[in-house]
Amino acid sequence: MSAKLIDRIFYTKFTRKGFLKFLGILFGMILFSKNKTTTIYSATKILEPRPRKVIKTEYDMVVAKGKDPSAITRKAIETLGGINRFVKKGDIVVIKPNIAWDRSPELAATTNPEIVATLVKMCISTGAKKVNVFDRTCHNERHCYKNSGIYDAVKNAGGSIYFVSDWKFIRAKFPENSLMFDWPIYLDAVKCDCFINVPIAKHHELTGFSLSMKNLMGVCGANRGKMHSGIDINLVDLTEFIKPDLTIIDAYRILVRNGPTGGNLSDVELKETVIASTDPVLSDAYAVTLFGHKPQEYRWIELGAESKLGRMDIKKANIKLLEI
Amino acid sequence: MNKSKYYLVVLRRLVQTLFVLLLICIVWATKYPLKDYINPEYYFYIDPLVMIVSSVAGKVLIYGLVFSIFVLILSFLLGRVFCGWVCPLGAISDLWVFLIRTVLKLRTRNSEPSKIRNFKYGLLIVIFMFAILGLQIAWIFDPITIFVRTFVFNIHPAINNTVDKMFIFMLQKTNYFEPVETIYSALKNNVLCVSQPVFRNTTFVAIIFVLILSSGLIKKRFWCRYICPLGALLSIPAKFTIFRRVVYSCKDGCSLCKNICRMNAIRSDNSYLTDECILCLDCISFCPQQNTIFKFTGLIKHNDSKQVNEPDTAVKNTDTENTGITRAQFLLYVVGSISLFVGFKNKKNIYKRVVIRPPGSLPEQEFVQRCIRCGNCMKVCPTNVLQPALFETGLQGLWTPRFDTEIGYCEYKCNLCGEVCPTAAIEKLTVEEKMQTRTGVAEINTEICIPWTTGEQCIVCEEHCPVSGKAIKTIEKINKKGKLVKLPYVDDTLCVGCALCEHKCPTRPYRAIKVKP
Repeated sequence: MSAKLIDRIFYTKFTRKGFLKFLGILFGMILFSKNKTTTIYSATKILEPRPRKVIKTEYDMVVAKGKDPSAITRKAIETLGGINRFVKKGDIVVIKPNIAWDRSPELAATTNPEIVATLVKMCISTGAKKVNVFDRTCHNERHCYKNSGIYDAVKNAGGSIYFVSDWKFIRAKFPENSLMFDWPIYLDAVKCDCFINVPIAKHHELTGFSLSMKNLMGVCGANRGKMHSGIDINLVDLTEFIKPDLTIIDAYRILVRNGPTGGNLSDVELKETVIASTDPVLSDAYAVTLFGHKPQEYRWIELGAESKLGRMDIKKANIKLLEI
Repeated sequence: MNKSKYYLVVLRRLVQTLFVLLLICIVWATKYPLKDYINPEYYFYIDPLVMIVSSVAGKVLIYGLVFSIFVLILSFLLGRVFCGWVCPLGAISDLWVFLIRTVLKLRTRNSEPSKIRNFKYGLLIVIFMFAILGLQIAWIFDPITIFVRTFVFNIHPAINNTVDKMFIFMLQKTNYFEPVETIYSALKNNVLCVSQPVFRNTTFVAIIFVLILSSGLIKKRFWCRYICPLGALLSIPAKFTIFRRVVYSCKDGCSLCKNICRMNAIRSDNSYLTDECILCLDCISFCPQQNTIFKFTGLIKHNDSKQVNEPDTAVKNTDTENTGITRAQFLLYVVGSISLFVGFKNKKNIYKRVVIRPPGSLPEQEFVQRCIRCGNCMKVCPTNVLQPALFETGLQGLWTPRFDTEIGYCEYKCNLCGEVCPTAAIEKLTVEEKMQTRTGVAEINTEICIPWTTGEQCIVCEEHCPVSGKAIKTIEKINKKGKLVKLPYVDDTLCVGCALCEHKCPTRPYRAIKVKP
């Protein structure tokens, strides 16, 4: 049997017809495989921006202070008008916390897990079909998810938390003159009914502070380092694309120095505050004041206000302060 | 064929499958949340060759020696059961040869004319001589290491990639069908890798593995017979084993057992070589007369010889025939390996650290001598930064772990590579110690760096620096457009060389910040 096989392989006459046949098969395979790979691995479609939803709230912004992070989050959203205004029955909700670094929650580099868990529970109790939690991390995914405490917190609260996959980053339709033109964006962040942005308020060397607009970089693919040149306008374009329905800024612990990674307890200050708003620019502008700075100092807040993304004037806005 | 004792072969195959699956599970579970009860070191602890040679070469006592000496005692009690029942390379090779033979209906002669099988003893002597002189080369030939290395470098990424791409294909064709997505994310969270592992320069590892397996088509268990130094080491106590094969009445001219023996250990007069027999039990299961058994005979010398029709030929003939190597050959091997080593040693400066080694690595010379290239550290590395070196560190540094910052970076709060190293070439560090351990120092190339040259904003390196207090600091400068730009520089006293900045640096093709050992 084997001798026959060897004979067939080595002693078959190689004719012109056979050679042509061989070539034909080879080209066919190449064509076929190329077709397949393009359909599988390159995204042919382009992501449209999320539609703008106008949600009327009782106040423009609610700032809640208190000892218990879970209670103040709950109270802030209730004062804003209740989670029912944002999440309807059967909705797919995306909660985007900051899980970018391998740090424990006390070091204030990642969002407080209690606040994330509270939000997940609130969404589920309203009847959300699925609550997705994810972030494209800077450190290793497994380390970040586990050590930030968010993985366990979301799992226990009943939400679905998963690691982002490279193939789900799809080219997005940014305006043509934008520096972010054709930038890949995570599919799940756009294909959802409600997007809740849950950043942590912390220092950042380049942008001054890393707040809700900076936190949205977690849904961007590709080499995010390249976004850093012209970061101010990029953040505005990105926020315009995602249009978060609700912004909850976790200022329970804030990182005042050596951001965005931190890593030292002496850099952390306890503010015990949660900011809830539908306006990303307004909430960022308010969070900046917590650090003792003025929103006018930061170009990305100004640009956000100029491009009608939101308002930056805190004095004119209708803000409710709560103490619990 | 009488098959009433066929269950013995089935049992052996089951045990072999079990051990291969166990090893695969252990290697598969070598990832970030490392469980205490399945540490991949354990499989190497029962490998006497690796343990003894590493401790001789490094002149230290390794913890695993206790277990490997237990394996040596076991092979005195039961013969080379390790080779026949436990060794994963032997098991895979058995399966591979069995499949190919049944598919292609190949037939090969198991007997061989000369005493070329003495080669493995020679190899063992060379390895030991090199170890005594201070160089560890057991990693080239150790079967468990070969299996683990191939699994880590080639098989595991292939399986991972196939499953991953299959799910992606299914999801995209069904427009993200929800049950599939749930299964996929559950698999991703627990079993599969988050990002596809890549190992460079590893085709050769796979080729060696396939060659070893396919050599079984020439003669069954070709590797185990002629080359395997672990088999040679185990066959020394196995030669004096007390668990021997006994043949009662035997029909002349049958010689079935002689023909099917995969190690060709049975002679034509029904005696056998105790040091070659791997107790596969084929000769018992397939004996037409059901007259062969294994029993403890070594201690009870010839007591039951009256009941035995052919009285214990096994013991009688082993000493008279010349197995193993002669004194002259032994001396030849010793002199040869010493001269080889001296020639090797005369080269100056071969142990210079030119690549970044994992955190907690021993000094370069000791590291290369101790490392057995099993690939455990590269498997466990969560960011895939540890890559097998080719010849960057010289011929002696082949497949040792090194940093490849194109692929990954060293996770700051992670000490896994030291945890899984079976020979302690990478020291076991606590997370706090690891965070202080320096692998190199970063250096900024101001000729490529974006803020230094063009005056645009960047400082990605500063943003990512995981060191508390930032090892990369910035100075402010006004650029041509009159805008304030922050320029990064490295604080040498704080930098630990994790290469995160180099990995994230947006300049291409060369990074503006580079970690140097």
